[in-house]
Amino acid sequence: MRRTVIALAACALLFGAFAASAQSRSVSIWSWQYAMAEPQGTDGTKLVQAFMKENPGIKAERAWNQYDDYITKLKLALMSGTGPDVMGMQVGATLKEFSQFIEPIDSYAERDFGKDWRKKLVASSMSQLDLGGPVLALPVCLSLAGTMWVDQTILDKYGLKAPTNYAELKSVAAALRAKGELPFVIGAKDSWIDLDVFLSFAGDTAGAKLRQAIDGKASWTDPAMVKAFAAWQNLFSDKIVEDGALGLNMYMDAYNLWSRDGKAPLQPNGSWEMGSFNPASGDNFANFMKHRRDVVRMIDVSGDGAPSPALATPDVVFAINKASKDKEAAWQLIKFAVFGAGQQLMTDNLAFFPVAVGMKPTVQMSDDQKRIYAKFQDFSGTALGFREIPYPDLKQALIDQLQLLAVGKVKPEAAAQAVEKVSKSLAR
Amino acid sequence: MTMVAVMKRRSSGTINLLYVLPLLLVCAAYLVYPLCYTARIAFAEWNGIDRSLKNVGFANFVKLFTDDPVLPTILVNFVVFTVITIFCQCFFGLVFAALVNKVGAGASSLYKTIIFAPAVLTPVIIGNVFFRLFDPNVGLSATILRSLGLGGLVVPLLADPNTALLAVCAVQIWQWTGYSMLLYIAGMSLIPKDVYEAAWLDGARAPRVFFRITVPMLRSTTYMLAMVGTINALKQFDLVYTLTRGGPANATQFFSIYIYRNSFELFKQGYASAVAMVMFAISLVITVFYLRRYDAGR
Repeated sequence: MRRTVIALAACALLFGAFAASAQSRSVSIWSWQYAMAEPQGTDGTKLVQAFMKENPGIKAERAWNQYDDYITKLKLALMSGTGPDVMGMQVGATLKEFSQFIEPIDSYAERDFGKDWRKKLVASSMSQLDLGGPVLALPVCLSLAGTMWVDQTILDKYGLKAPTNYAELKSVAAALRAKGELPFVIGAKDSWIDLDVFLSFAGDTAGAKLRQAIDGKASWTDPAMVKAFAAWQNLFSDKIVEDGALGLNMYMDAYNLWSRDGKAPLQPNGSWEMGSFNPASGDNFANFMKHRRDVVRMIDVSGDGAPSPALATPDVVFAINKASKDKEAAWQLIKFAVFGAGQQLMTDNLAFFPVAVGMKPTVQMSDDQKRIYAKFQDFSGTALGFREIPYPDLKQALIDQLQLLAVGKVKPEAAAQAVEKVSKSLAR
Repeated sequence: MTMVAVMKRRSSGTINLLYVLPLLLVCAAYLVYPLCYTARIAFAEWNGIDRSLKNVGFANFVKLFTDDPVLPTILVNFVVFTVITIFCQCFFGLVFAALVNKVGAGASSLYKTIIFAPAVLTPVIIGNVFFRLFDPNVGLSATILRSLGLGGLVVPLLADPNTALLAVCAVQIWQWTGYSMLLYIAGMSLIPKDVYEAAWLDGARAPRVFFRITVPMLRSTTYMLAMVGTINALKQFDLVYTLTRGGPANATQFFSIYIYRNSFELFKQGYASAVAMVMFAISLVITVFYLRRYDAGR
């Protein structure tokens, strides 16, 4: 009897120890991505829960913060060795500055998916990550910027059509102003939307030279680039944008004029606005249906008859902390989010596009959602594979010159020269 | 002095030192160390993230003074903002103080409360409210003007580099005039009544009494307001950030916003620290100047 009790106790202890070891692995994930954070979206929570269900031996913990808070928090945590295992990052300067804390991820991808692992991902999702050296992060979701949203109800009221080139935009803006309506509504106080519009214009006028100029391999003073600066300036000098555009934030000032108030007939914005076609978005959805909103490509400014390209970019990328105690668990979480069932969750949210090749939404979509989704997929075919400028000084110089152009304090040639001066001074 | 007295004195000195030691430690940890650390970083190239700093000597300062087009704008904005806001806050504060002192006690309290109320609000809230007021498209002021058929007077105040700084000044004056008024009222209450009585007996009239007695005797209050106003102008951040974020085209750029931009948006912590040290040096000079003037006036 005594022996039996001892044997049972030993079994219980062994089982307990085994169970404890099975549960002992943990992985933490921090991100800034608004769509993955409560209460705007539940993707982040769903992602973590689904991961734990698929990997019962790993406990995943998540923390989402607003972007500015997140970067400060992450900076301090990494410096003090208390950072998360997986961190959400933005491509461009942020990823570059944090690179010393990041574990290159390509060896993990190659181990699990072979040398051709890149083929499993949409090319435009990797163009800002696969730069010749080690790949530091993998994209989770893709968005398209540099597009124009149209309020068809307002345009129809005055017999207007969505503009396709600069002359049409100017004419439509003048007609709208004459009727007391707002014209092309932009929150130009926010530099990101200024950059989106400008890069789209420059992609149209300069094509591949734009990327070369960013990388210091072509000049910003090239006539094609100057043409883009001029087109940007004309938006303001020709009164195409609303009065006081430089004083408005895109979110929520300019966006409220569009989404909530229904007063903006035309607005530059990206594919994330697609989320408003989701019936679950409440008032936004009701307004979208009432105003028959649509998306079109940004106007042609080069004069070649083709619209300006959209800008495809990973909206958030995941990286492994070099100091992580369980890098394998961190990789499993990223793998789940990028290649696995987590990617399907992202795709089904319909706010972003999948990065995994062949991934399609499995949720029921309304006809409008299908139409807009298909349009963006069409735009992505000719989209530029970047949106972020990875050199902070160059980016700031460009922002400064776009603002000076908007207030008419410099001419396009001078703006191009100023940006070129900074570009030349950079050690890339 | 006996040996015992010397021992007692020494012991008393040690005990006194122990009393102030906690405060000294707090000052050393939260004032002296950050200042020294900022000074150290100002001579380095650092993105605020890396574990190691790269010493660059005076390179950050050289670049700031020879190759940064924003610094002259910041200095001009600082001077313009300081002069306009201090002058207007002192002038209107003094006028309101004199007027409020003339009315009865009940009305005086009401006026004081109303005029002082903006000073207790946070600049972020005020910035957001005035941002909506100034909006030329759907803002309240624009809507009222348009409804009165005065749409031509609607100006995008915050979006025009010629008017943005003045608009920020106006909001700052609106917020802090009540504070100036209260200090002037307190200062006026300390002026001896017999000075006024002597002036009345000598036949002085009200304006003369005001300018020859009240204003000079409030000089220390004015110096204090000027010093605080100047330091506030130097540190200006939240109000400007919510109204214009330093734009358009740096038209409302200030030291603090520029430091924030370099530090957190451009990852140039070393350069931002150099700007911070320049800002610190300016504030030190201003403080010493005002304190000397203040002491001389007492």
